Amino acid sequence: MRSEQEFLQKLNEVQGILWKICHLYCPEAVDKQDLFQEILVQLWRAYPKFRGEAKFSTWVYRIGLNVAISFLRKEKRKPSLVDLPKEVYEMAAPEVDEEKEERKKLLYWAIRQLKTIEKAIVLLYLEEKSYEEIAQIVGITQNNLRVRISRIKEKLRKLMLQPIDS
Amino acid sequence: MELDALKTLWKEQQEAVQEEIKPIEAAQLLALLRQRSHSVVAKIKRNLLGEVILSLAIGVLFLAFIPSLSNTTLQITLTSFIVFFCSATSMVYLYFWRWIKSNYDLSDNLRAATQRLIFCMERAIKISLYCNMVLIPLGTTLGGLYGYALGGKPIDLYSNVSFTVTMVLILLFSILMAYPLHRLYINKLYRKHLKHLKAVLEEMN
Repeated sequence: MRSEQEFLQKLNEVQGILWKICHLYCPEAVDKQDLFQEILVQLWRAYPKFRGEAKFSTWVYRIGLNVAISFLRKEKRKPSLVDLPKEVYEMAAPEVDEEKEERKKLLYWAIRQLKTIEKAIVLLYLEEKSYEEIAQIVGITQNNLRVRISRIKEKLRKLMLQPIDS
Repeated sequence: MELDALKTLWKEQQEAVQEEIKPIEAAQLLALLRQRSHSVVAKIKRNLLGEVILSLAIGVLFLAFIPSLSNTTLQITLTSFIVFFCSATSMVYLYFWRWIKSNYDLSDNLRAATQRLIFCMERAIKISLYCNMVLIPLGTTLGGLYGYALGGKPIDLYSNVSFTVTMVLILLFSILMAYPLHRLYINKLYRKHLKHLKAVLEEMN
């Protein structure tokens, strides 16, 4: 079994991926933290089986998205006791101009309105993954993916045109 | 706004966030590993373990009452019966525990992992159904039998008509009750989740 340090080193390089998944799938801070922890635990448990056939980041996306899809969200749950740095599960709010900030909020809001798999596809698409890689991660054909992306684009366009309150 | 135009926005946001992210320390990881998992597979495993513990606890409780029965033949028969069912239940659960561990792989693609998870959940539900349909009536009837025996009444299926009728009624009632009880239990545990996963799979298809 490879060492804990090696795993943490690799993980810290791609930690942003976990944050993005959590942020898209869990709007609530408590759920976000729980999902982050769950993904970390599952990554650590699966790490001995990681053979390096795919890129580490692709492997992290697969596990992270699989955990996010099957994650149990409870109505009322006490926050977890493990204190992770809040930056890893809370959205950072760097000081930028208001218009940009609004657009970002709108972007996240619109993506969150999408269906479970659409969220995964849009995340991978925005991450500039190739169609081949996205298709492999999701488990659909590239043709199917193209159709879906075009539908998602249309959906997002419509969503981003309407005000959040509606 | 086009999706491609959002890539720039996304990138900017992520770069800002990336600067804020602090590395995870080994101690934090170790602390996380001690936490209870919220994954559905962990939930299935916990529930199965809970069912095994409950079956064994009931088995032990029944065994504890065996010495208070006056009939030696009955003592031997019931002991063998209880030990057999407790062992069989534990074996079934243990087998499924190992099966789920070796069959569920999170590093599969999303479609395959979701399909397998649904399969695991449906199998867990089936196993739970079979075990509950056998164990609930058996446990209830055995409880009735104990009550009868501890009350000092003679246990004879052929000559004691009231005893036979009571036992048959208890058995029928518990068989009738086992299924709705099982459905209630399963719905509480997995219904919402299974529905969500099936919707996700349908979305992929």
